[in-house]
Amino acid sequence: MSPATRYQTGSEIPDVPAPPVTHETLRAYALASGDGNTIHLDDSAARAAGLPGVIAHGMLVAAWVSDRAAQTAQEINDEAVAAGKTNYVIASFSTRFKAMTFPGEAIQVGGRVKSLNDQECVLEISARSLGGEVKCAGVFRLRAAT
Amino acid sequence: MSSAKADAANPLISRWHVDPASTGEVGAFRQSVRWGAPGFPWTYLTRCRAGEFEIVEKLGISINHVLHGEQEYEFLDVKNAERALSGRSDGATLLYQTILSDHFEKKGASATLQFLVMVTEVHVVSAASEVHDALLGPAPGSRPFARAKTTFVVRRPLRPLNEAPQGKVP
Repeated sequence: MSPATRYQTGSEIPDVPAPPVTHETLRAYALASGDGNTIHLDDSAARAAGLPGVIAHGMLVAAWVSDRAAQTAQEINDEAVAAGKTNYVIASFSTRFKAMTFPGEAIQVGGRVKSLNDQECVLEISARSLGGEVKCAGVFRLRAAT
Repeated sequence: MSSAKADAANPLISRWHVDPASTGEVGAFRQSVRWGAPGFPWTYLTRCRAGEFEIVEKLGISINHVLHGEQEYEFLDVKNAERALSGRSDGATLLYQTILSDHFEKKGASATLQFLVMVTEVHVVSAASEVHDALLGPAPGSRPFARAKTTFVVRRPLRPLNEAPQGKVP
């Protein structure tokens, strides 16, 4: 008898809150990522570039989406191993940047399992404002480890 | 000075660049994005963007006038990726080079937008001696463990791309 599995094709990946977006968060990410573009750090530089103020790095939001995918993949792998199947490893992913994220915005991250079979696992995960505006949409392709 | 189109026959290629994926660097990155999953932070290769910025500059476009439209990463050798990006060892050195693989325009509702597509191949070298003196490239036979594809949207182009000055290709 195999234990009930939580994840299958179509399963929901529940929303979790992303870390808060603050000027401090953006400064820390600029340092760690090496992306020192001033539109993420300095309001006057952002305004000079035609923006209302500093915006979050797209790749910071993409990191939150990717972390949600990687944590979900870990849970799926735990289930696969418990069922005597091979685990999945990341093969490729894409993130599309749909809207800018501003300091103070609350972001949530979740999605669904697009497909899950013996060969591959595809996760669709996005970051959205509480109002439902999609900021970043990710598609993650994992393949069964060989 | 002659103007040249960046196309398949005459591509814009960056120099080789290095990035230290040391324990400290990976740890700081992990912390800055609050990476909570096990394994390497999947977006770590975003640090390997100096080649992209180099090409944007060669095209005469201000980095403040480009928006990141889409980012793709392909892990060609995931075991090597894990080894290089986990930050567990004293540090792998990443070696990468970027090419402008495509550029095109799309008519939007109010303006014509320009798109730049850049592809970066990332190699890992475990010893400094593997990096050529003048960063000429990875050791012969080295295969990239990952490939990044970045799509930029140019918000305020200075001039049509096909009139952009051609940078020196190393």
